[in-house]
Amino acid sequence: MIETNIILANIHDSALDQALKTALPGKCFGLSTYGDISRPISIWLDDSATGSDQTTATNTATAHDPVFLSVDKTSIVANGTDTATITVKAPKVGAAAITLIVNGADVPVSLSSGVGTVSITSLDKTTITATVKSPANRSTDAITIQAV
Amino acid sequence: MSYVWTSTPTWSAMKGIDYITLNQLIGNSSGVFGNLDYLYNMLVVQPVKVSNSGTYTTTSASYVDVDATNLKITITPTSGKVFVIAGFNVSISGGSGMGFDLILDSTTRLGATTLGLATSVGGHIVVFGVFSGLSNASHTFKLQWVQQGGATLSMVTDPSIVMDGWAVN
Repeated sequence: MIETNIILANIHDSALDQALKTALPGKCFGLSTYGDISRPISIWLDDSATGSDQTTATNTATAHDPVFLSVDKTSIVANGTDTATITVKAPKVGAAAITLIVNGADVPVSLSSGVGTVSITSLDKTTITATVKSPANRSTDAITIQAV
Repeated sequence: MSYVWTSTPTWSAMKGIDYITLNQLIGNSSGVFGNLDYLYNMLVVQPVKVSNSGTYTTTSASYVDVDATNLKITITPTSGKVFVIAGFNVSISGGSGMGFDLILDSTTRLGATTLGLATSVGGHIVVFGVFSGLSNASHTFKLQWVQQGGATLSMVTDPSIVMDGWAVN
């Protein structure tokens, strides 16, 4: 196994993992982090990985632009006023614009210092899902809210 | 440094003891390693503790070191056997499972092929075992982990991760 290292301040583990395995099919086992942003992360590559593959791995990691989703409650009353708030965090300096897909509809997110929110209400009893649009190398997070 | 156990002779009345035998039994300050040195070396523990240092994570589908720098112990056995134990807390996100193992000299894992010495759905885990058939030279032992099914594993350092090892007979 070959270990490639790079310092990366903010990491969405599963998103970067998927991006690495997409960029290096069959050659990347995954990644490890060590709880200290000053310590380089490890990208684990098969012994067959070449120098070019290692460069691809570090370039993929450098391009990583993580987005984290969280929600304050997963159930709301379907009365049009009870609100669930989705918090969107994009900690990378110069993070790209973010759009959520909420039940199929694009919802742009306004960020301030890397943080933004989206409020969810519903008049219908339904399941509401929210994901990041164009999530490659950004996020695998999915929020589900039940309007009851 | 090589520790050799010298069998104690059977003493009898009027049987004297020569200095060579005495050095072999006790050892001396001139570099002769006797039985007391042999026993002392077996009791020398190499404790490791990692606390309050954030969270380790991995998405590796092949066994990798949790932390090759800080979760490693080095022991020189006297009888070719070393006992190693590690305790930690882990959680899993997604995927289907995880495995944990101990590895000798970065080459040989102690546990089974797929799940090593332990698997879990998350929580506190202890792995331990005896490595045998070792040369009586310095050896390293590290904690390893692996995820299954595309999971992300997290190992916290509060509570602490502890790892100990010692030579056994």
